Amino acid sequence: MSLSFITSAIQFIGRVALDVVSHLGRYSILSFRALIFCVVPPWRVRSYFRQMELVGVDSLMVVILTGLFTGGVFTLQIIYGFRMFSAESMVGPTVAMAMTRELGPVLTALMVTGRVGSAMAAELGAMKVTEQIDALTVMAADPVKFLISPRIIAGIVMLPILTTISDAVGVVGGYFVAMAKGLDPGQFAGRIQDMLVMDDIFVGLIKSGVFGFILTSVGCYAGFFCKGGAEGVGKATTGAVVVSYVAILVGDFVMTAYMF
Amino acid sequence: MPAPTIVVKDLKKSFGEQMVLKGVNLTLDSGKINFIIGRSGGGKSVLLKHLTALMTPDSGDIFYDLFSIFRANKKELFELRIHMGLLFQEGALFDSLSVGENVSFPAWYHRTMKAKDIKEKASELLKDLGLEGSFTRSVGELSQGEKKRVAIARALILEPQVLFFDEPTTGLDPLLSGVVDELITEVGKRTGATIVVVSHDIAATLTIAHKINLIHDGRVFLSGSPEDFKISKDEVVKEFIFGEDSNKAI
Repeated sequence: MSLSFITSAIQFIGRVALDVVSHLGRYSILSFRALIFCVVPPWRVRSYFRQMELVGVDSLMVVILTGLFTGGVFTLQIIYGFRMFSAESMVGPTVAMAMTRELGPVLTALMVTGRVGSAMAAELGAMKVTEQIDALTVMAADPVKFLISPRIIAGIVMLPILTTISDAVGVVGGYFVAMAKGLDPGQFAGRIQDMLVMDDIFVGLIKSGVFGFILTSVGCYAGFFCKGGAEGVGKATTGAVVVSYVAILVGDFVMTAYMF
Repeated sequence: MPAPTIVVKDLKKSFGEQMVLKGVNLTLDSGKINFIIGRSGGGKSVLLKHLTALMTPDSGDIFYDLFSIFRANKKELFELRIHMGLLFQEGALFDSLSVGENVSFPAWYHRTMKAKDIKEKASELLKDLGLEGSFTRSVGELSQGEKKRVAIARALILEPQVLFFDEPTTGLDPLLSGVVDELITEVGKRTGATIVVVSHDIAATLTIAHKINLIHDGRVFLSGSPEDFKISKDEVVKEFIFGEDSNKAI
């Protein structure tokens, strides 16, 4: 192995490391500024509600469908296994716990990332390349306060609400599948009340709030620092979705390890 | 804030190995129409971004009267920008807002007027610019010329004391270019603002400018009145003003 190859490899690793640190630094500063601006007047309440509508209300249908079928298919999978041990009465609690602790928060976050995180990256990226962000700066309107703070707050507020809906719909989906597979209503629902505790729900909601922050802040960061023309916007959008997905799954693992 | 005199002192800016501004020195006169001309890629837009504090230089400074924009704190820069208007080359209108909302935006954001007064003023500006009845139209429906006029209205709503125009007539037909040139002159007369126009449009430059600054090779090559440029014997000036055929104006 020649010395030049080793030097090139070290240079490459160094460049990548610097790049990662630089991105993390800029991301942290941007997110911190956006959160600070949320508590600094004047507030443009209309912008906050508009973003909540985009993140929450407009994502409702996709979240309901995802929750419904996830609960259904999960029930379908576990019902056979549980029957082998005559543990049909555990199907309901297992579906409820899986939905509230993991499937609801994670799948809701992934679906909203695909729908909203990518849209935020594309919208802000397009604003960046068409100089709309510069226009805001010249008009003495801080673009972080005006564009990013409302989006991040919308993510933090709306994801737990969407997750609650997803959890509920998932359990209902599981219920209908269980009925179709011959379980009686009491068998499915009876032990949910006994086994599902409020902590399962709260921890799931805390997770979803964190996911809401991740998907909106990553989407905004990708768009805000987007370079180049249409190609740059495309790369920013793809990058935002990939990074958000990975960050959500890693974040889920870390939070699960510490919270349960 | 009265219309300021803007002084650029030894401004330098590089991008990697390429030095775009190599020590720009110029004065943009208060209440006058100042043109900045030069070849494409010559650093005009970079200079404009420095003038509006969208970029920071490697060295050098820009003063609005005696006030350095690069040493200003956030509050001072905010105060300055309230009195600044910039027309971007492509308009930079907000796609998610209607025409009226775009024009009203600076006043709405800074809450300088009551909502009713903002709407009245925005409608009046749109009327002055030949866009009466366009208040609720979507930006996507507008032609390039209409977008520029909406962007001009937006730049004017806070009655700025410094107005920057980045290639205001690029992409417009000759008739509309004439309208925009007249508008710049009229705005200058009406508001008394310091106007800075970055342009390739030599005809407009020689017609409406009070002062022209030619940027060449990263520096100000010549600064003077249109008359100074017309009578200049310098090859660089003649080539730029008259094109290759130095006997005929473009």
